Amino acid sequence: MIISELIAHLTWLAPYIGAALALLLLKIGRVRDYIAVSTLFLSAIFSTILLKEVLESHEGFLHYSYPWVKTLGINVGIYIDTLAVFMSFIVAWLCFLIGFYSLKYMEGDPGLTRYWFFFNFFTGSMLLLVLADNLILMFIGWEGTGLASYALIGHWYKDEEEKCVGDVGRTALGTSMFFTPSHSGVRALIFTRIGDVGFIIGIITLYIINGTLSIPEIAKNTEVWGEWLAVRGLLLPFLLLFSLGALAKSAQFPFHEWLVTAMTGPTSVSALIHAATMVKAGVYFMLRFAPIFYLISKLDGVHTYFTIITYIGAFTAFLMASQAIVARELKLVLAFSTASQLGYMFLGIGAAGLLEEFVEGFLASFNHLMSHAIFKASLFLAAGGIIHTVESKYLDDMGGLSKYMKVTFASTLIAALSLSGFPPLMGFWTKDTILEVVSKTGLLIPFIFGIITASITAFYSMKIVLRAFIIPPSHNVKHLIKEHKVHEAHPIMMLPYTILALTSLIVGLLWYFMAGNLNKAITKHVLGLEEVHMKFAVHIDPILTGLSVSMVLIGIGLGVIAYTGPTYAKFINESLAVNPLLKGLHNFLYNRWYINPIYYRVIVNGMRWLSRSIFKWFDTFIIDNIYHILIPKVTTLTSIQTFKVIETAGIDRGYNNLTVRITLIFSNIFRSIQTGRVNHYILIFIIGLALFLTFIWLI
Amino acid sequence: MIVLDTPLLFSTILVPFIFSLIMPFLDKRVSVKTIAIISTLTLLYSLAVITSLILRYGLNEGIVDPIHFRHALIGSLTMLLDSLSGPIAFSIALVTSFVAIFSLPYMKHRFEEMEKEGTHPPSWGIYYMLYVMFSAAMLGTTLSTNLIQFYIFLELTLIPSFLLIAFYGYGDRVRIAIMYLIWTHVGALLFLLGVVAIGFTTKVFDILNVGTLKFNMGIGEGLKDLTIPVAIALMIGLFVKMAIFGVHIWLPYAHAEAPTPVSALLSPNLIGIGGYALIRIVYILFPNTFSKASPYLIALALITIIYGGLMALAQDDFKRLLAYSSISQMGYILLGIASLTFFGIAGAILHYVTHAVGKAVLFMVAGTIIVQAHGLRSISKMGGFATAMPITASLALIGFMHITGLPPTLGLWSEVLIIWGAIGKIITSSLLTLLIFIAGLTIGIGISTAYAFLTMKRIFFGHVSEGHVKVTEGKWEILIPIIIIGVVGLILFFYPSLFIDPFRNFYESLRA
Amino acid sequence: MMLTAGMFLSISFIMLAIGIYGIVSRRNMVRMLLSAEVIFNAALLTLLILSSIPIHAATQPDKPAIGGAIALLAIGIAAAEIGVAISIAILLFQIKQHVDVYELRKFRG
Repeated sequence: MIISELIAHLTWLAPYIGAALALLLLKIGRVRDYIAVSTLFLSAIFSTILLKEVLESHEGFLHYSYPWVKTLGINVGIYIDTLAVFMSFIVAWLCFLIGFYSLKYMEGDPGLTRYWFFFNFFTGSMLLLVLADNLILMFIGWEGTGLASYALIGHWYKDEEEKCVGDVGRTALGTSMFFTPSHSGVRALIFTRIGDVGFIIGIITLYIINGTLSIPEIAKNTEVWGEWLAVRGLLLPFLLLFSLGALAKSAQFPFHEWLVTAMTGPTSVSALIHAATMVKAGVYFMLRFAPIFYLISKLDGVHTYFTIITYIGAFTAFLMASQAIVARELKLVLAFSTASQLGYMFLGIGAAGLLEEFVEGFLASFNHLMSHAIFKASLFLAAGGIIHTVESKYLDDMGGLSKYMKVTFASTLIAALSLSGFPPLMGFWTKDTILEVVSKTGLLIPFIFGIITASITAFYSMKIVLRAFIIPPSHNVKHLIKEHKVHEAHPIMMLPYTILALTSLIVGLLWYFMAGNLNKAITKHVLGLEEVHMKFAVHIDPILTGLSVSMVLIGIGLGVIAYTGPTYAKFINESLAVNPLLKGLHNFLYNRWYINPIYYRVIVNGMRWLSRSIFKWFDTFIIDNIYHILIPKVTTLTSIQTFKVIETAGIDRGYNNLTVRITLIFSNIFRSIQTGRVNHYILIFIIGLALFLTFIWLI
Repeated sequence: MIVLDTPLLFSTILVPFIFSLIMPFLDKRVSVKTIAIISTLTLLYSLAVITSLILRYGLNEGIVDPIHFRHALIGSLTMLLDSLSGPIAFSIALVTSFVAIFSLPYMKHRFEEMEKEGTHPPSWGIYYMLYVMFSAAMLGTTLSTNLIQFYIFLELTLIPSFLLIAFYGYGDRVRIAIMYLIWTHVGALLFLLGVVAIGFTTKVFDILNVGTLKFNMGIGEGLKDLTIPVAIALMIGLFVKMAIFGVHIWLPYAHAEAPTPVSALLSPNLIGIGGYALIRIVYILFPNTFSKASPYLIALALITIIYGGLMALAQDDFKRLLAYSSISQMGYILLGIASLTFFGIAGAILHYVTHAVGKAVLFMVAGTIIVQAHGLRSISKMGGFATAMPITASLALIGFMHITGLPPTLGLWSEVLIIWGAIGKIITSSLLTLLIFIAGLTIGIGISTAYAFLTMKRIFFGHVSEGHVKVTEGKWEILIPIIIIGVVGLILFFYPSLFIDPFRNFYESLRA
Repeated sequence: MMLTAGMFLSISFIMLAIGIYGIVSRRNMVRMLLSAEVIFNAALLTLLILSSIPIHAATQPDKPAIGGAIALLAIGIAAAEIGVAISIAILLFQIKQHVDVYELRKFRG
């Protein structure tokens, strides 16, 4: 028991230990790197052991807890149900593979200690987030991933030009569309932090109603707190607020902008955080809590909530895919693609809440999460290799690499096809299930968005493959070929993404047979998910599948024509340059629907203007002046006036002049008696005597 | 309550105070380093006493000194270390001792600067005397159990800090020092008015009844007609000290132009004492009135948070930015206090510790930059420092993480608890109030994160272009105090129950 | 007509008035001394008159004549005192060559 508890806790703790060790060993370069990666490996192994344990256990979950802050009821506890264990399995292995990749990719980077520290810190936080049994612990993991993400996005903080996103000096609507790493780090943090406020408020609300932070207990108590909120009409606001963190973390509209500029980080970071794991945290949040919300779906507001999620997911998918069409940087295409696919996942889980059989959507979303993590990580890692070889981030500078980087080409092709949803790769199955689920909800617009996006996805996936590998080499590549610099990536780098691409291929091939068991295992015990009595086997709806496959083929076809057909390519390029409508459309998409400039103009510049003007007019002009100039002036004036009028004129004169003069008058009177003549003195003496005697006589 | 055998708590104040008095005489006779070491040791003594008391007895029941001075009119003066004052006293002792070490290299630089200007500031001995007195007096306010005692120590903090700014500060230091003096003195006087009103009506100045070792709760309510005016006077007086919006304008001047070690004391420690006093004095003596005022205080707190943050965004001077940030953080503390829930008040106290650690680190980072870049305070002239000063950059990050509440710093706990308390209070009001509050809170937290990390970026990241100043990393003697304080903040993240758990008892006893 | 005491008293009052007038309004010290003498005699007369009025026992025929005894004493003292005063005046005249009191104001030693 102790061992299993230790293993369970070590799954998330080992990476943290690795982070600390990386700091301590900062002097010994390679040892530090290997130790960091080995803790990731340990974590992956442990997660596998946990997977086995949970699947074999009777109840389907494990729960370990260690007291931490008693009065708040917060323990260091982990609740490992099948959802959590599968998620942590994926996360841990991906983190390890990407860490392994980084050994070679980040070689020679001056900030390696920082890199490994935050890389491991991130992994630990992500696992903590997934495994936590109480909300505050989950929040701690959540914030930890945010911090690590900030640090890793801004890893190359010196802001060298080639590390930035966007074209130098480009502006849209008056705001710069050129983003440095340090700037992007701040953007990521702020966007996600705003969502986090909603998250923490949601957590606190749940605590207040339930008196506990423990997720299993809250799940048990769902009816009660759902009722409490619904009665006050707070249920929908609460649900939206609570999910705000998830929406921000997973770069859904309107929080999607940070993910785009997050590409300033090293490619391994992009693979890890922005494709495979961190952005999935939001989806994981939905997967964890949507079943619980579904339990109270009869209450007012829950249905609306799920509908909203569905629409947001669908729109984001479309929005981001449209921007991928015109992107010029390889990593940007992949970034847009990630956000778009995340939109699919949200679409899936949102639709799940609207269905009779919640589990279908749940599984669709989770399966797509898994498959996307695998093929997107593969794509990103391969992209890292390509960018490294070609020494440029732009697709324009690539081309014709298929001859020189055969393995990478094969791997990228498989992963890209998986992304497009080309059968029988894994991506096809998972995307298909999502579309099926959406069609079952009967909502037309999300479905249309989903279908169109599938086509666009295929288009831009082909774009990547074609422009990087197939089309004739660009000037840049020709130049590099002459210098014999174009070669296959190093094996250490190649291994992870090849493994991942192969996984996507093999699992896809076997999907029809193994999906049923897989799904059954996943839903063995998930909090809030009631006993499911449906068959898990895969079934293909011919119409739907046919529709989606045809969309995919259309997309692929368009891509091939656009990029390889010479006449058509030239035709497109020319009309883009000339035709104002096309040009406008191109700019619109290239500038990311002007959403970023709008944010900057309204919020950032607005805040800046607000802060500067309030500082200038209110703080400095009014408050500062009132206290420090007005009041002293008034006081000085009053004091001078009072001094003049009362003190000087009245009191001073009164005491010092008047009294003196009166005294002088009297004294003059009395002085006049002293004449110096004896006779007068005698007279006065006699008068005085007479008066005295009269006085005596009277009495 | 636990009554000690020896008056250890008095000694934490007396020992530094007595040593401080001999400092000026040591001036020419011993080296500056010795003076610095003596000062640090006396303050470390206080830290050691407080920490060992906390660890040995825990803060559950409260620790009282055995001796108390009785006076017929004033009441009994003794010292109390309980779950409320413990964290505060700990932070004060921690920050003051390590900033004393930091003062040595910094003031060396400052003295050189002043010599170049041609002014001859008073000597090192005076500096350390004033510094240690200031620290001891702050400790005294925290441990007080009597209103007059509290007021005396409060005024005792005033004179040394005023002199420190006047002698060693920047810019128009004498005028700013006088401004600081008048402002805080006016605040303290308002407070005194309230105190005197209470004392003469109820004949009791004690917060803690020494005989029964129980708090004199609610005696302020017995003032009938005077209750509300007196409570308001007390609150406004404390708001001035805390630099809440409306009466905040002295703080940017004072904290920016004070010598940086003094800023590192003023900002984190001194203004938070206002918050502590709000709980210790105003809430204990006026529980009902305070509860009634709670919604207004929450609104005021939100305004302060947003306003402070907004003003911080507009600053170019690094120290001024930190000063406005302090105003914003005081808003958070007020928010926690005003919520009058266990979580909120625990969060407020914890936030005091967080802010003490975080802001001390940040001011010391500012000081390091000033020393290394020869007086540079303007952010627009900074940039790309992280390459040359990696340790300083990491420390700045830790500082900013504290005040924005990111794990693994103590800031996460304090921020979560404050929001916890506030929501707990507000959730029962109307939907509109709730939405406005949430919107305000979101904006506030967003702005806090924004100015913190934007400043981090502007100073440390980006290009190191030719126009920017060249810097080198600070020496160990200037960095070690910062590292130690930062590490304490990180350690406390794992062990917040040290301060949170005992508070439960205290809170329950207040509600009873 | 009856010789009332009042008539005698009025005589002495007239003498007093004359004396006072003299002492107050004369410049010559000798004349002032003469007037002082007149005042003295007026006072003496008043004393004798009052002592001979049969009011109290002291003025009964077989009682000792206090009034007269005092008068005699007073005459003797006055004589001595006038002698001193005239001597002062003569000495003063020898020094200053005049006895004008209006001029004699500053004495030294």
